[in-house]
Amino acid sequence: MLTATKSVPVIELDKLCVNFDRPVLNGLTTQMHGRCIGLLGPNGAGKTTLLNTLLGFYKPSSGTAAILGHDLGSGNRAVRSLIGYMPERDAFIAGMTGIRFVRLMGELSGLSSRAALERAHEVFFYVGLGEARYRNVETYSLGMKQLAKLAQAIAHGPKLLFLDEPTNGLDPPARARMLQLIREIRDSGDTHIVIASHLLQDIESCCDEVLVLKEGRIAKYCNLEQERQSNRLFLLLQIRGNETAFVDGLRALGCEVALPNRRRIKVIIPEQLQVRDLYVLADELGVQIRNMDYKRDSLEDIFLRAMDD
Amino acid sequence: MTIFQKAYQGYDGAISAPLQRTLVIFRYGLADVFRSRLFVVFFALCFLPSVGMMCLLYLLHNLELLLQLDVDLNELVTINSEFFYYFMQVPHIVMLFALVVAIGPTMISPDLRNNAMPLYLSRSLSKFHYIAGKGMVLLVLGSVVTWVPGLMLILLQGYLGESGWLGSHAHLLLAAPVSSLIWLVSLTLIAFAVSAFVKLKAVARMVFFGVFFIGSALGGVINEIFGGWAGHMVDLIIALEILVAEFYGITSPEHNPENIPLWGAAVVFLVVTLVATVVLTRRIRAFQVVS
Repeated sequence: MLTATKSVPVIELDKLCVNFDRPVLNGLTTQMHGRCIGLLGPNGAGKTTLLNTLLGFYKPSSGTAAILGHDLGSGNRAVRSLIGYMPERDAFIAGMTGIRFVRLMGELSGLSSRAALERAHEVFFYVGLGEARYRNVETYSLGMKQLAKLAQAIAHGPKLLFLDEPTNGLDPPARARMLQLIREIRDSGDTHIVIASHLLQDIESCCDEVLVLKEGRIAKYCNLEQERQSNRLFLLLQIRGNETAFVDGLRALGCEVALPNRRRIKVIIPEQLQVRDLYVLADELGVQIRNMDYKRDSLEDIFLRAMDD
Repeated sequence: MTIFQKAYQGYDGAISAPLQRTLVIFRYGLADVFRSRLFVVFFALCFLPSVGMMCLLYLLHNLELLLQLDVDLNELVTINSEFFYYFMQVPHIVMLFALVVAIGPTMISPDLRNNAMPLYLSRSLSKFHYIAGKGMVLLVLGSVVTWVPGLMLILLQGYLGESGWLGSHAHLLLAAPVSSLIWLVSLTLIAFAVSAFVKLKAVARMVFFGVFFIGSALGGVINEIFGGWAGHMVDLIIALEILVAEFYGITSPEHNPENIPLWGAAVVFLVVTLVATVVLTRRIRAFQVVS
């Protein structure tokens, strides 16, 4: 049985490039080991293209990719039997009841007819559509279609689950329900999950690793827990006065300084420095410190920093 | 534990071979087709020509019955290749066309319209498996109403007819299935290609008709302008007539007045099949590439 171990990454990319009429993915190299991996990036960063390449829909222009130790070039068919995929757009087979749709998808994934029917009933109840399983899929609401897409993706108990914008178009309760399901699947320990989304909260609530893409390149890859633990406390300052001079003064004192937005200064102070020294500097420059907060990096900070770099 | 209390769990059971998944598509496609009562009636009617032909064969070999019906024995048709061509193969060709028009465009276009291809192709399934699974529905249904009963009729005639008839008409045992299968495979690929291109069932049906009738008309115009038979190279119906007549060993000039070579007719089918296959493989994909 294939599962990711420390030596066999869930996903391994080696100088992966995908070109259409322009480079869409440009030399991606990384190894991902997480139980639940988030793909983040602004629109057009290449999240969906990376998913589609890992699914074998697009051929890499150069480089290689491997899933659970299987190279996509040689073991494409074998890999796909381990994968479940929930596409971003509406996707269903017309004229079928929900249960028949998921049963067909189970059988196409290699389950016997009987096992597929059993699993279809189970996953329909599991995602909360048990009462609607004999209705035609076309008649489902958007939220129900999202859940039906999730049901077909997990019907065959995949080892790796690709979810492309799973909370798209969902109202807050449905979104919370979807995220809860994703966390439960993650915690079952049977399945690794890759979520492509531009919603940072969704990723933060489910994922343990994050890959941030920017213009087809890897802007940041990190383990969220390690990142949180290794993050030093930083100070978020709001000042009134000569900002440029104050920032230069902070840098001269050995502080790391970032300006995430107007009138806010993010400062990481070295160990030998005291907070008091900042007040001394402010006094020397005639600057008022109006607000000072202790903070740690959130995913949003990590993402914004990756976008700035 | 009741089903609604079960938590998510993986699946560690047996997995079928990839080839079996083609049969899954075939099985579900077949079930979908027979959900329409209208199609069930149509399918039952498709057996009528073969049943009628069987009755005719029985009648023609039943001297007592013929005498009771006061039939002039000198006016009876001779049962030979031409008999099977006109009474069996021609109705079968028309029937296959009607069958493919009825269900061909409904097989692929709904999947494309509802973006179902990523669901199929993200599994251990290739475009080939998908097209083969869908195509098998038409091939099996088409075969069941045409060349399979056709072979039975030829064997029945061999049994009822004078000794040595089957031996002298053995080519019919090949002509019936080959003629029907060539036509069926071509029609299936064209119907799939058209429905993959158009996506809407009703429009796909109209375009499917157009491929044949516009082809015929265009062929006529080319012949009128340039003379010769080059125009027939875009006319699938003429090409079929030439091929089938050849398979049945009918040399009558009315089937090939322009004396078009057999290879010409074969090339027409080959080109049409290739073009349809290329269109299909290009159109059936998980995602559109946006430039």
